[in-house]
This record gives sequence, C-alpha cells and structure tokens, in this order.
Amino acid sequence: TTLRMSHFWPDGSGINQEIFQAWADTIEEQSDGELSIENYPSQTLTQADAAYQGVVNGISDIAITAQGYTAGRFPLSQIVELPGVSDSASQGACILQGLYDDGYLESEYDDTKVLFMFTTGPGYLHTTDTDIQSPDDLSGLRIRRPTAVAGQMLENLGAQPVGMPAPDIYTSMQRGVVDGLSFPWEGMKVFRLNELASYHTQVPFYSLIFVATMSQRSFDGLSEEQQAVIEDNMGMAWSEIAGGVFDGLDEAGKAEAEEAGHTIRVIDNPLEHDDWAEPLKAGIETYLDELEERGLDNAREVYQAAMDARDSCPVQR
Amino acid sequence: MSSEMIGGLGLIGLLVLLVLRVPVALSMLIVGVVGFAQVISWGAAVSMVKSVPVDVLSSYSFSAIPMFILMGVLAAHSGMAGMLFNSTRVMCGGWKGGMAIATVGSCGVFSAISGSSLATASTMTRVALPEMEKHGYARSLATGTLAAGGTLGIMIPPSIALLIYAVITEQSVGDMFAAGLIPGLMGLLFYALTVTVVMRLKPELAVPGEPSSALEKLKSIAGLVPFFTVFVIIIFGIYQGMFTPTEGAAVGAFATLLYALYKGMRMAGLWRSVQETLALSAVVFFMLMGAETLGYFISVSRISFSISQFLGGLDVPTIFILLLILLMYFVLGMFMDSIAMLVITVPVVFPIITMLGIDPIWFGILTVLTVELGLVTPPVGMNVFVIKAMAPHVKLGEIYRGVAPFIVADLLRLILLLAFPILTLWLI
Amino acid sequence: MQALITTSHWLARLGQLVAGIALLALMSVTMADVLTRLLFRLSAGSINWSVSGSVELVSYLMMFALLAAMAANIEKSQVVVEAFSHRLPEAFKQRLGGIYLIGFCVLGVLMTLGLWQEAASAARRGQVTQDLRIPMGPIYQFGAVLCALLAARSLIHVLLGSLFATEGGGANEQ
Ligand code: NA
Ligand code: NA
Repeated sequence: TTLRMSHFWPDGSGINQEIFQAWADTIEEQSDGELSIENYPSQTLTQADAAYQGVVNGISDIAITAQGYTAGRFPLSQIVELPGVSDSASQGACILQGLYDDGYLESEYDDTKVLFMFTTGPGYLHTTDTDIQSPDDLSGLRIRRPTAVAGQMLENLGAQPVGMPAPDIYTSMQRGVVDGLSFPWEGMKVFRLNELASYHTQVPFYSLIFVATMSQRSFDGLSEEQQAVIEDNMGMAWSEIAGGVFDGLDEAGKAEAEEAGHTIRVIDNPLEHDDWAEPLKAGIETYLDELEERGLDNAREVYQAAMDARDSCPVQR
Repeated sequence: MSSEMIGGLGLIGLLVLLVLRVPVALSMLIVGVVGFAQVISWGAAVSMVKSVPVDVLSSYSFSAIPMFILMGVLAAHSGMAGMLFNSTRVMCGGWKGGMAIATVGSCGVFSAISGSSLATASTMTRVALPEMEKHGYARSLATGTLAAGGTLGIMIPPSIALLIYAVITEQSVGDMFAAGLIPGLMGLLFYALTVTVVMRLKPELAVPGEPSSALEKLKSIAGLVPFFTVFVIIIFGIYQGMFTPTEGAAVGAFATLLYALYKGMRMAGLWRSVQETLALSAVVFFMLMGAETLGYFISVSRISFSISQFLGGLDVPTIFILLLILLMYFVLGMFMDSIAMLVITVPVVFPIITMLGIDPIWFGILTVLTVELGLVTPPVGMNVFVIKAMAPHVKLGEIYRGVAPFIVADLLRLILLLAFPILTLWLI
Repeated sequence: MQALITTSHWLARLGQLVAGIALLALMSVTMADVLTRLLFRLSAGSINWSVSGSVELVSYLMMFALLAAMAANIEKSQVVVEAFSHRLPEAFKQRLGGIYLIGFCVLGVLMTLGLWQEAASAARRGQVTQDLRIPMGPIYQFGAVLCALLAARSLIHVLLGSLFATEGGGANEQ
C-alpha cells in the first residue's frame, strides 16, 4: 500500500529529511516494505493552508501543516503558541503532544487520525539596524508579524505590525518595507534573513505549532499489521525527534548570526521582566478572553495545563 | 499502468484536446483532473477541483496581475500610452524596428519593477501593441517581441524564480540576484539584436517611420513625462521601501487613475476601464487555474522526478549530464508552469549537481533561463496566452511564430553562459 | 432564445457590478495601507492609523472580483488553438464552443459545492481570517453564490451555442 504524504517544507530541508523522510523510512522498514510512503514536499500535492482539509477530503493520506494556517480552526491547540509557554522546540513539542495525549485538544482533530505534533522554537525579534534593548526601542518600527496574536502584542509595544507572506520577507527587508520581523532562529537561516538582520533580541513572541495527521479512512483501510506499524510510530517519541531537529536548526541559525558578529540581546524570564512582561501578558489575556467569548470555557484551564507541563518537559534533552 | 506512463499519456491527451478546439484552460483542467483521478482516485480529483481554482483566485501574490492590467487599460484610455509611443516613434525617426526595440527596453524596465513575467506581458501588450499595429508592424513581430520581453522579468532582479531557487538550494539570495543581473541585461541586448536581425531578413514585417529632425526629437520628450512619472513613482517607492512590488501594482494603477481623471475621465469611463480589466483578467485567470491543476497532475505523475533520477544514474561526462538536465527543463517547460517546475525538480537534481562539482549559482542561472523559455514555447506558454488574452484578434500561431527568433536568441544566450561561467559569477 | 439572452445579459450585469466594486475596493485597500504606512514613517511612529489585514482583504476581494468577472465573461474568455479548424463554418464553431462550455458549467457546480461545504465546515469550526478575524463562513458562502452564477451563465451559453449557434464562445477564436 502506498500512502501519499503532503507538506510545505522543501525536499532538501533538514526538517523534511530528518523528520518526515525518516518517519517514512521507519514505516517502510518496520512494515517490511508493505507500506510505502510517497513524500510530496513544497506544497506539490496540497497548498499549506489546504493541507489539513486535503487529508479530510482524501487528496493526501498524510499531511503535516501548521494549525495556524487555518485561523480559528484549532484555537485550543494554538494556546501553545503563546509567548512564554515554551523556551525551545523540544519543550514546545513535549507540551503540545502532552496536552493532546491528556485529551485537552482531541475535539479539534476528530475528523483525522493525529500522528504527532511539534512546534518551532520561540520566535524572537530580528531587526536590520535598530538595537532593541527595551520595548521603547520598538516604537516607530515596522515589523513583519507572524501571527495575529503576535501582531497584537507588537502593536501594544508601539510597533507597526505588517502582514506579508514569508517568501516576500527577504526583499521587503532588503528595501526597508519592514525594519524587522519575529521569527525563530531556524527560519532566519532557512530564509537567509541573517544576511539582512544584524540585531537580534531573544524575547519570545510566539511559537508556531504543527501537526502530522493521517486520514482516518486511509488508516481504516490498512491491514491490522500495517495499522500496528503506524500506531507504533505515533505520539511522543516522534514529537521528541521533531523537537530535537528544530533545536538543532535553531542552534545553527543562532551560530550563523554569532559568526557574522551580530548583536544578540537575551531577555531571561520575559513573563517576569520589568519591561517586557506587561505587553506580553496583555496579549496572552486578550487571546484567552477571545476564546472564552467564543464559548471555549476551558481555555484558561488548557493554558494552565500548558504552563504546568513546562516542569516535566525539559528545555534541552 | 505506472504513474509516469499516465503522465505521458496525459500530455499527449492535452495536445489532442487542443487540436479538437477545446478551450486551452478547459483542456488543462480536463487533463489535470482526469490524470489526477487515474493516478490517485476520483474522489481526490473532485476534491482538487473544488479547492484548487479557489486557491488560485485568492492567491495574494497574483493580485499584482489584475492591478497591472488596470494600469495598462487606464494608460491606454487616458492617452498616456499613445503619447509614449508617439514619442518613441518620433525619436526612432526613420529607424526600422525602433518601436520593437523600445518595447524590449520598456519590458526590461517594467519587469525589474514587477518581478513578474505575466504582469509585464499583460501591461506592455495593452500599451504597446495597438501603437505598433497602427504603425505598420506585423502582428507576429509585435506580439513575439512582447512575449519574449515579458520573460525578462524572471532573470532581471528582483525575481521570484531566483528567490525560490536560492531558498530551495540554500544559496545566498543576494548572490543569486547579483548573478542574474548580467544574464538579464544580456537578454535585453540579445532581444534588441534579434529585432535588428529580423528586420534585415524580413524587412516587410515593419514599415520604417517618418524621418524626424533633432528639434522634433527633443520636443517629443514631453510625451514621455506622464508614463515615466508613474514608472518612477513605482521604482522609487519600491527601492525606498515604501511598498512591496505586489503593492506597487496597485500604486501604479492608482497613479494612472489620477492622471486619467486629470485628463477628463469620468465615472462612466472609469467603469468601462474596470470592466475591460476584469474581462482581460478573467481570460488570464481561467488559464492560470488550468495550468495549476495540470501542474498537480504532473507532480503526482512523478514524471519530472523519474527523469531527474534517471539522469543522476547515468555514467557520462559532467557536461553531458548538465546538458541533459537543461534539455529536460526545456521539454517540461513546454507543458508546465516555471515556478512549479523549479519546486518539483530542483530538489531532485540539485544533489547531482553538487556531487558533480558544478557551481550551484551558475547552475541556478542556467536552470532559470531554461525554465523561462517555457513561458513562450508551445503548447502551454503562459506569456503567449496572456498576450492572446489582451489581443484576441491575433492568432496564437502568429504569436508563437513571432517569438521563435527570440527563442533562438535565448538559446544563444544559454550557450554563451554555459561557455563562459564568468558572465554569471563575475558580480558575486 | 430571446429569454435566454435577456437572462444571460442581466446575470452578466450582476456579475460585473460585484466584480467592479471588488476590484476598486482591492486597489483602495492597498492604497490605504501604503499611505497610512507612509504617514507612520514620516511621523516617526506617532501617527499610527494603519490596520493590519490588507493581505487577507486583498486575497478575498480578488477572489470575489475574479469569480464574478469569470461568470460575467464566460462566453468571451476562452482561448482556443486554431490548428486545424480555421476552415470550419462559423455556426459549427459556435455550436462546438457551446458544447465545450459544459466543462465550465461542471466546474462552476463543483466549485459551488466545494465552497458551500467549506462554508459549512468553517462555520461549524469557528474558522476566521488571520488578521481581522472575519468569519470564513460568509466569505465562502458568497464565493459559492458567485460560482453558482458562473455555472448558471455557462449553462445558458451552452444552450445558446449548441442549439442556436450563437454566443457559444466559439467566435472568440484565435
Ligand atoms: Na524581475
Ligand atoms: Na511552454
């Protein structure tokens, strides 16, 4: 049986090779070749924002995508994107998968079979020529905002959030349409943005979350042995692998900036920091209030569970 | 039947449908959907038809296309375009083919602004084609120049294709853009030379203009002012970081609208221009929808993947493999959208390139140049389709005939770039 | 036949109205965004009138503009290759063009269904746009209505073209 796997990362990227292709190879191996996975990178089977629906509709059997690409569709899961929830990709993956395993998020994925979830490392601030030491330094800057929630926080800080697709960032930054952006270190390297930004402030604005999921129909169509192979390769074990890969890429991204001699400011404990805590917390509150208004009464409970999970999920493994 | 075979049959089926006079957009849609269904399933194919067209129509980066078309239509209705070409005509005086060369130059400037081949072809056709026709240029020469001129947008920075190649292969975007500059400018030069050569060989394709005095030439500069003001606003705004190239399209349309209002355009005239823009955009986007659907089918058929893998396994000299890869791009380019082709094949081909020790940036430029040819080669040539949309009275065959000499020029440029890597790597 | 032509005419006017308004709105949204950003820059950040969300507004306005424009111009927007058919009589081309328009009628129906299903699922899941948090349900629903318009006008011209050899899209040949 052949399963089609769709995602938006490029074929040559470490993320594709070390997470998805590695997962596909494992499945093929453990099923003695009974299951083969056809890998469709770079949105060649379904567009990033249509990837989840593509699994539901049977275009692909497996998809890996960011929940945030369909805004409002996975509101409780996106709580893990809030700043201060995780300090690394490993920790984020562990918290997110943990919440799912504990049943907090199940209702949001009832139309597919979730394989595993993971996150990026924290998205920090990167600017072309302004040294951001305190929130005041952000005033009057145009910053590419990654998510609506992060955009809200940037606005609270006096910056002007600008929305644009990721491939447009490079040229926009080169010409000064934006003065900076919020991105994890990994993205800075992948999109070649360390070429343009020379100031980096390690204060978290968001983490992007991802889900690898499978069509329930495709799963039901497999033999019991094949199903067992898939089930052996679901959940926390692969979340940890994904987290580790993202951690490595974050390190490489940061190393690139360090080697280039850039200025890197590190803000420890941002949620308790004198200057940064207030705007970040305001953004978090706004998001949770919104969920409650939508009738998701357990929003704060999920947030608390995520924060509590920080202790059992190590930042580095 | 293997999916590659279905892929091959699908492409043959496409040719059959086109011959049967099925609309181009519908032919691509049918082959895309039926092929997708054969490779995967009918359920999946139906799901694709339900979602892909909507994705295409709401894709932000495509929004530059209707805005640049609006700009072209308004430029035509306000007399701005007419003035521009009147001026170039006077400046070229009795020089044969002068307006075609002026068109190549304008396409180069415009593509440097917009970064989009389709936007360049659509705007410049609206502006330049009526004037060239009025002054006795053969339709084939006029539209061929426009189709070729439009492809300049891919190489002259900024370029979406070069950016994507750099991201896929982890090259510096800055280096990639720098490397594209000389080959891009060579394209400008070669196209201008092509016009000159065509004029020598087939003088009947254009009538020489009326000779003009130096004073007349000087005076004619005034006619350039409105059009170049809009150009300068767009270029200056983009390079000053006031807006992105995509937004620049709307700014250009708005600036031209202000000029049209100043020239006395009223509500009724504006509404007619808007409707004309929408009718032209509809033609273009019908074909984009078809091309995108066809692209998904080619993607799942894994044709390009299998060819690349086969080439990688060959035991022949390096240059031979390189030529075979470029040949593959040329053939695929006949059927496929350029960006989709890069995204699908470069990751497969690139490891081979690295293994053979070929310079990745040089290879990128060669690849993008070959891929860009796909925009003007039959049967699926998006630039040619766009021009056809802007000028329904011109036959597709005429455009393809007119563009043929420019394809020869591009092949010459490719050979030069192959022979002298320094042309690409000098500015890095 | 006259009834069909009249209906088609009025449906086209409706499509043109929607498309025209959406296109002008698209341009205005981008201009407003660019100008407020310029103001922000010139005032060194003290005047911040800008609203985020122009990217998504432009995307959806373009979808409306193009769907409506396609519906309004379906019989005039097809490019065909005249490789071997240029000697065919005009009436035959019209009938052929009309028959091929069935393809777009089917496409319109499928897109209508697709968007309608998306609308239902988006409404159920509370899906909203990224920036402005506009509910996706009504956006998809409106899109579905425009697709239905495309299907309806295609069908009318299938009939006109194939039965009466007029306005079947065949005249727009190369
Ligand atoms: Na360009
Ligand atoms: Na082609």
